[in-house]
Amino acid sequence: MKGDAIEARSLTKRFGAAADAVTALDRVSVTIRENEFFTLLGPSGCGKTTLLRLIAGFELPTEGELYLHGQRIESLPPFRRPVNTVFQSYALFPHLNVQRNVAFAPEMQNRPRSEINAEVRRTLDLVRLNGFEKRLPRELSGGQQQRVALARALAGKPKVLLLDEPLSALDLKLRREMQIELKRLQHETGITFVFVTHDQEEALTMSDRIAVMSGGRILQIGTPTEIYEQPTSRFVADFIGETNFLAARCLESIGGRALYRLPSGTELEGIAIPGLGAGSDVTLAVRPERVDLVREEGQGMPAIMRTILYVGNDTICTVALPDGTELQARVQNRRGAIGGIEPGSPLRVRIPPEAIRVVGD
Amino acid sequence: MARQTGEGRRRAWLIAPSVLTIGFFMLVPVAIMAAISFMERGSGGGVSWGSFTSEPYVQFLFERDLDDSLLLNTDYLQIFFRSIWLAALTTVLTLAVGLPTALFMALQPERRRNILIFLVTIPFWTNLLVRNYAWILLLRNNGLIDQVLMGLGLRNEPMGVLYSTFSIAVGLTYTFMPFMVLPIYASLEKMDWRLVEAAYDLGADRWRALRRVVIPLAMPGIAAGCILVFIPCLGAFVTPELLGGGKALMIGNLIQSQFGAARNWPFGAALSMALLAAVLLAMMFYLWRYRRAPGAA
Repeated sequence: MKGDAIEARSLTKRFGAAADAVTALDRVSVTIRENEFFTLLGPSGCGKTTLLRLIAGFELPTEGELYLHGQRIESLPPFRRPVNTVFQSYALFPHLNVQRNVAFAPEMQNRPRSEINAEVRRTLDLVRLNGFEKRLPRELSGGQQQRVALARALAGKPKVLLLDEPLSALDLKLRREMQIELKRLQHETGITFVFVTHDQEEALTMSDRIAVMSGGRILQIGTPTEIYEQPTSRFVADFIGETNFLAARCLESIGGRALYRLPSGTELEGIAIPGLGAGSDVTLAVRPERVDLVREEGQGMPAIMRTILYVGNDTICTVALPDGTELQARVQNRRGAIGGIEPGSPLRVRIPPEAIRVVGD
Repeated sequence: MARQTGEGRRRAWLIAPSVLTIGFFMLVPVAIMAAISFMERGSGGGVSWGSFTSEPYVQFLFERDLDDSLLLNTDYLQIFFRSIWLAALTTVLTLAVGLPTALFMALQPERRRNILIFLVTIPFWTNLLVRNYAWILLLRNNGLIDQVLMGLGLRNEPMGVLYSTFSIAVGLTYTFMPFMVLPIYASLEKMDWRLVEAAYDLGADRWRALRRVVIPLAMPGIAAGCILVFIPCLGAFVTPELLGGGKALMIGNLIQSQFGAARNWPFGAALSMALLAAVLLAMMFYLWRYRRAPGAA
């Protein structure tokens, strides 16, 4: 039976004096489950790092409550929380070798020497760094330092591991490797991971669940598929992947299906969302890869091809609807997919009903 | 080949000024002093040039009886060890006060830090003699400290601490405090405080974070501060003269009196060489401990 690892209730953090205080976190409530790979995703300044620092204990919340496995912790100092952090800068102790760095947390817990040594061996095995015990941090590569930072944080046997953009300093190839490595570690240790990143691809590939943040608030929490396929707000749809936004008016909504009219007069069938009445103005979001370009008359909407961009596996086409609205379509480069269509030539655009999402602003 | 020679010549020209300055103002005087320490005393004071004797060094440890036999005389040795002891005590006291001070300064916002550095250096603006006389006014019988203590009813009589080893230690600690605070501050100021955050995160409380992370990383500054206090302290003569009242001599006073009142230059030079040897030993210890193996705890 899995419980909740972290529960935040209406957490607020303001920096600065009352008059010109900056709100970094605005009444954030979130529940992170035990043994979950949970990602806080958002652009810089969205409050994701502040939330992480509140969980670690480096900052105290202005308001709100924070629970760890049911115990209230928001006013405990960092050294009393069973939570360890992997820092963006790694923050390895430069005067201690790998062995002493990794042994730091178990030593602080006053565990017996033999147990500490065993723990250091175990965690260095886990991150595949045995043999490096006597090296100083400056004698290691960036990727190795990263692994030491992980081992050091895991050696304290934390209930929750916090990772503050730990992969941002690595090059692409190493980052891919570490993404797989982190998933493996999380699986093997069974520790709850809270991962902060601004990289949407990283978030989608690694997470069990994602919280998308902006302006100090959580906009949406869900699995990667939910976040990508069913964004509830314009920001989430825009931040994660490419998205076309279309202004439209809801004409009717019957039995889970709705009819929307675009400014060009074309009518589109899509999925209805509860509470949306006929006559209301909405924004529709459509992923470029769900837009079909066809040549046959009588299907979809008329459009004009504007630009064609070849990107290897795909071709990205920009087409213009009769009212001038531009739409992006991502077409897989199967043989002859868009063969023969030149910029400026007419074609038809078809959007399947299930590809249309209504997003709030 | 020709180009290398040209390069070498240009380098030689560039370092010539510093080589000449150091050679002329440091090596030559030390050589003269070493030479004098092996000469006989001149009849009317000064030195009998060209003579050779090891008598000044013998005089440091022994005195000659009437029948010319050598008797061990520990008077000078006692002064020597008192100097080392006082210098070590001063180093410990300045460290005990200076480390928390430097830590406090390094944790202040940037603007306030600069003001604090300025405050630490203010004593340098006043002559050393004047500052030591000020301590006399504070420490003497019925001086300011006595008056305050007696006024508060904490004591019934003056403490009588002036002209003692204690008052010398107080004076030296005061005098050398900036030499301890500034190097430690310099090493703390460029410290990455995220490391302290990491220590907290890994379960270290404030005291353990200080002991395990802050102090080891500030070690170069602490070692430099100790050297900067210990070495000049060993040769100090103004403070023991004024605050010791001639009762508790230090090696500096002894050397000064040999070149002054006693007019025994060779003995003064021999004492200086002994002091130099002590300083070199301290420096070698520092180099051995902190330069060859940096960060090895």
